[in-house]
Amino acid sequence: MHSTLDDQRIGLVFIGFSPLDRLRALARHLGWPGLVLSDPDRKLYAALGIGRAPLWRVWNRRTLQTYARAWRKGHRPPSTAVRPGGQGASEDTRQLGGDAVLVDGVVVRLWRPRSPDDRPSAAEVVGEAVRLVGR
Amino acid sequence: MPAREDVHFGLQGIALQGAQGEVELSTLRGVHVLVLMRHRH
Repeated sequence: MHSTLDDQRIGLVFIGFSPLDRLRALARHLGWPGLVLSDPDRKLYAALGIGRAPLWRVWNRRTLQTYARAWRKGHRPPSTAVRPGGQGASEDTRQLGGDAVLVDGVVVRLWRPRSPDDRPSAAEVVGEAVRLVGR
Repeated sequence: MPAREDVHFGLQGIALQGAQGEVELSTLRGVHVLVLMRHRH
């Protein structure tokens, strides 16, 4: 997303429901230049109508192909088993993500996926934001 | 790819945790792209 955006008038906000320190570490890894926010209660997800996918959509053919490719490259998903202290027990792999454009605190564009691999291109989202800045 | 939805609604009362404290989304001025992650990493 950020690699497709060079317009300084547009802010980028990275949001997840993990603890903030974990999100910030991931954002650093990705070179994310904008805000990083944590929504542990998923209040924003609920407000945007971004829910959880049924299992058959989470584990569809394209998702499995994505994980298979990652596995062949040596990537291993973190364990979701309960570890001492409860760490690792709270991953919700059915929670979907989403994308939105906000203008002066008002949501004006929204993309709500039906499955984990169903996201708009970064170019589409950024393109909308650029058009809205130009108004 | 999901269809783009043209909507218009505020986010009053939604404050998320940031490095400098809580951020009230309705107070953000200008154009912002929100990217919501799909699950914990």
